[in-house]
Amino acid sequence: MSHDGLEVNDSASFASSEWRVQRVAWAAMLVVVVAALSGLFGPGPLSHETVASDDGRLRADYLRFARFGSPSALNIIADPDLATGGLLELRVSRDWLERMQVENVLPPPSDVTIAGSELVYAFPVVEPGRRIFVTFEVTPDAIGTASASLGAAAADVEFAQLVYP
Amino acid sequence: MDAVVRSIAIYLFLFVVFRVSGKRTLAQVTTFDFVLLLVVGEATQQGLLGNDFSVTNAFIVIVTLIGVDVAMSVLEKRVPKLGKFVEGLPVVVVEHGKPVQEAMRKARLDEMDILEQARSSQGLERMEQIRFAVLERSGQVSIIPEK
Repeated sequence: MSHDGLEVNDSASFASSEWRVQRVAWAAMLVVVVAALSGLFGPGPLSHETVASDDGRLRADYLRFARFGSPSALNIIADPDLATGGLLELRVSRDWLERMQVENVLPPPSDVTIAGSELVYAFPVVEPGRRIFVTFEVTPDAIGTASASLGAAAADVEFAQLVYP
Repeated sequence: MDAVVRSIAIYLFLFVVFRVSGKRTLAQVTTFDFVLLLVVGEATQQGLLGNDFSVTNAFIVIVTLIGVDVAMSVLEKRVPKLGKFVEGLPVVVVEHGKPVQEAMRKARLDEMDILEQARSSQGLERMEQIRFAVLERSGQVSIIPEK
């Protein structure tokens, strides 16, 4: 563009396209922020999910979208009749556990045994007749889809989490 | 391996985000922009290093970042068209004392910003004393006074 003696390599068409790209980028940034707020990239309304077994006796609250290295919790609620002989035996798939760093299990299990492709966590139940709450505090250790299956007595649940890098 | 991937990913991401956010952000025109630059560094750190506190990790990250920086500048020299996309082009924002409204709006500059730069770099007092004001690629505004 000529500017009366000023030697400058500007360009009206380039400036226009640059401006358009900027506007598109700003819109994209807004979309990312809204998506993040709604839980698409981690904790949030879209991400908090509950899955229950067919008979409803076993429930798991988990995060549909999790992040690598970012602590999250798996809350399990079991009906009292799933415990036998004063013990709730919770089966957790090893595939899932291998993709997670288990920081803490609350309450601490009295025993953890290996049963093929699952680990069985045994939790002593002192007050029979009351619902049982177990929490696994985990930090995802691998990126991608982490599928889990949990079970206690005849009740089973399955869920999948997407772990972002 | 992931130290290299993280470094490249974060470098490119930051590059793209700052490039599309506009030149004002780069030049730290306002307190907002300055604070932003301070805080972005902090936000980046954890993503770059992860949980790895080893010196080896730090070395790998540093070498990768500098390597990508060098590669980008070499690429830019080799492919001239890339330079335009990477650096942008200057924009004339004031011509013969008259602000170019369209250009200033797009650059998110107002007359006060131009006058401030005119005072500090040339000691000028009024818009009429500015022959040309150019928003350079760096985000700085250069002032050419009327003779």
